[in-house]
Amino acid sequence: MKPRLLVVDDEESILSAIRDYFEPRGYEVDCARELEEAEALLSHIRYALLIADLRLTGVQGNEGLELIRFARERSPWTRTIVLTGYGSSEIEMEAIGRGVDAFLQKPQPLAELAAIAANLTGRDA
Amino acid sequence: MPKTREAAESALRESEERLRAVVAALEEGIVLYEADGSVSSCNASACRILGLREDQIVGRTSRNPSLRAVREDGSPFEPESHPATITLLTGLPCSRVTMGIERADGVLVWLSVNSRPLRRRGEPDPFAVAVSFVDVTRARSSEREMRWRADQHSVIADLASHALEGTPLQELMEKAVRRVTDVLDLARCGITDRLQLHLRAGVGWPDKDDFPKGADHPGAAVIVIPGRQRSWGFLIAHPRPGGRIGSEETRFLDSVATLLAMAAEREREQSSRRRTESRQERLQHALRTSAQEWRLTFDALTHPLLLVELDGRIIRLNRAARDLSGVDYDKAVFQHVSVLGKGQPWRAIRELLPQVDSADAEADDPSIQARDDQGRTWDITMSPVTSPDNQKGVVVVARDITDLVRLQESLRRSETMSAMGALVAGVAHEVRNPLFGISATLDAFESRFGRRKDFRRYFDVLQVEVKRLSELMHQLLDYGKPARLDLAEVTPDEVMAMAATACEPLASRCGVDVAVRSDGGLPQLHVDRGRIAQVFQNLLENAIQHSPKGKTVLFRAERVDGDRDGVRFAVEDAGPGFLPGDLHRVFEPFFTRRRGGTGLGLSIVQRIVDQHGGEVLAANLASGGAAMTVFLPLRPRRAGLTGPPALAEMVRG
Repeated sequence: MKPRLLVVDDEESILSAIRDYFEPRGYEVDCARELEEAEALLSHIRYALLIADLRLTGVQGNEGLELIRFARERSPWTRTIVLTGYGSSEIEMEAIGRGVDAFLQKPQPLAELAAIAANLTGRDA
Repeated sequence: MPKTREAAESALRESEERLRAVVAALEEGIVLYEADGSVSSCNASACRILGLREDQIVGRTSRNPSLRAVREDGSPFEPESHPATITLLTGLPCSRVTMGIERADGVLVWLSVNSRPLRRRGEPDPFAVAVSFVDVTRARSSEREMRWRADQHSVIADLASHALEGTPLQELMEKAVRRVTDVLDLARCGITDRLQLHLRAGVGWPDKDDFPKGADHPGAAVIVIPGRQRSWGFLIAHPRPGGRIGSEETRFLDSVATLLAMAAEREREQSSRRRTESRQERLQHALRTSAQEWRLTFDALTHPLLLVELDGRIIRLNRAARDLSGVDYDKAVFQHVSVLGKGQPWRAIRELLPQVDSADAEADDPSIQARDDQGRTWDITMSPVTSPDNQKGVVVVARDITDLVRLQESLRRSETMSAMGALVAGVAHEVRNPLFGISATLDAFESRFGRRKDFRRYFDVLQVEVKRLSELMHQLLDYGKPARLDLAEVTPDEVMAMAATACEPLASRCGVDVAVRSDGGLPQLHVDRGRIAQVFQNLLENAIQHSPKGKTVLFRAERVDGDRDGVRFAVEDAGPGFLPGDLHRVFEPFFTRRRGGTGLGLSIVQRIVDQHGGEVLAANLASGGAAMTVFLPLRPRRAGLTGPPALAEMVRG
């Protein structure tokens, strides 16, 4: 069975690029643009991996961390990667404290992202 | 053999008895303590001195409840510090320990105590301790008396010399009160205010009513301060509770009162003379005094200060000026300022002097800043002065403002930085999201069509440009990073190695060697390891990129002792060096002459070094290459001068 992947970002271009890159590499990719949508999907589908932007369209600025906490509680089998354009180490520490598997800076080359994803889902890249 | 043994035993007994007889007859008290601390025997003198029977001493320890031992200051003498105890524990003798014993009959006797360990041959620990003591109560009291008399004499002598020297009466009275209270160990002591009041009024005769009433001062001694016609006032001494003032003390107080009377008389005479003295005389006196005060003040100033004539001849110079120039007073006075030296601040003083003459009286005093060869910045101000006899001169002050200048520079930089840092970091964040959109799309595109040869060169161009932009964004964010240092003890060699290792791939790509040389034994620094490693990495990367293939970049470190202790690091390359006009601009953000460079590397270096209270300098080597020097102090001069506010807090996402 193909590993299922949930990508959460508020930029359409990023969602489609990641989908186009990962699907040919043997993943089933779902996308979400908002926190609530992502939470609904996580509640119903068993994802192998979640790739989330740190900041979604909301105002609080770190919905990504919110989503990680949700995933930890409701979907403990899901591995997590957080992407951010903001290089603040405090947030990184917080994310790692919440059990994030990888915390990556944008712009992240997709080849590297794919290697990490493969590693986390136990596949060959 | 038994005969021999008997003879030996009897000889022993005899000798013991003889010894016992000698000990018993001694004036000294002798007490023998066993190893367990109990008394095994004592002589008659010991009983007599301590006021106890033999059976009250033998078998007891130094904690004998019938005796209370005190020290000279009256505090209890703990049994642990008893000479017998100390000798038992340490095996060392104690000599002439003064100990007060409150006997059961209430008499306090003072003893001078010695203790000696008694050892058997070949055994290190004493099996007993012999304590001997003499009664020094009488000697002690006469010694005290002597000391007391000597104290009194010194008080009188001291007060007399002050009275003769013309110490102001008020001061003399305060001094007398303090010393008298001290030497007689009084509860308090006072002089009736009348004395001062009457003096001020120019009369000096208190009324009868001013005489202190005995009832107002119970137990106090009231001593008259005699006057030529009537008394000046009264010295009133209050003894401590239980104490009293005897005839001995009263005589002493009388002497003090006489001295005070003398001083009061003198002051009255002076005040009446002052009224008749001409204004001129008083002025001269005031001038003399102020000249003296001025000279003292002048020398006390830490800034070099000169008084010179307009032609540059030195009239006066203070101690700091003499110390700085190394020229003695005699060698400098009436000479031209050029005798003080060729360097700064003296050169600037010479150059500035001519401007003083032409200076408009209303204009500000001319000033100039000069940097000496030790890197100190001097601020030199010249103030023209005219003496009463119309002589013109200039007061020159040279202030060392090195710290101030450093602080200002760093403050200015950090202000620019916080404004720019906020903007830059904000822009960087906003750019990184669309940039990721582009790079991710490019990656997806390439993964699908990358094999098509006609697309390949477009991918290559786009990927290089995206990488360049990413690098710029990364550096911009770094530049705008809040200044929060993670300080730790760091070995210089360790950070140097970290940076050199990080630069290895670049160095091998460029065909340049990096040679790390350190003095060895460099002191540890209190720095942010990661940030300082980044400083060196940035410097090394620059040096590598500017060095021709096959050359070596030298990275070295040395200890600096002096004005500020620390470590100086240098990165020297074999490249073309800086253009002379660029030297002062290289730390400006976005200043770069290298194609593809962001122009932020050195700005980041400067910022981090600043945060550590250090200094970074750009220079050219005589051989032509560039040399970047970083000085890091062992102890930062100041803390908290950080750059932009916490940007991460402002714009974090």
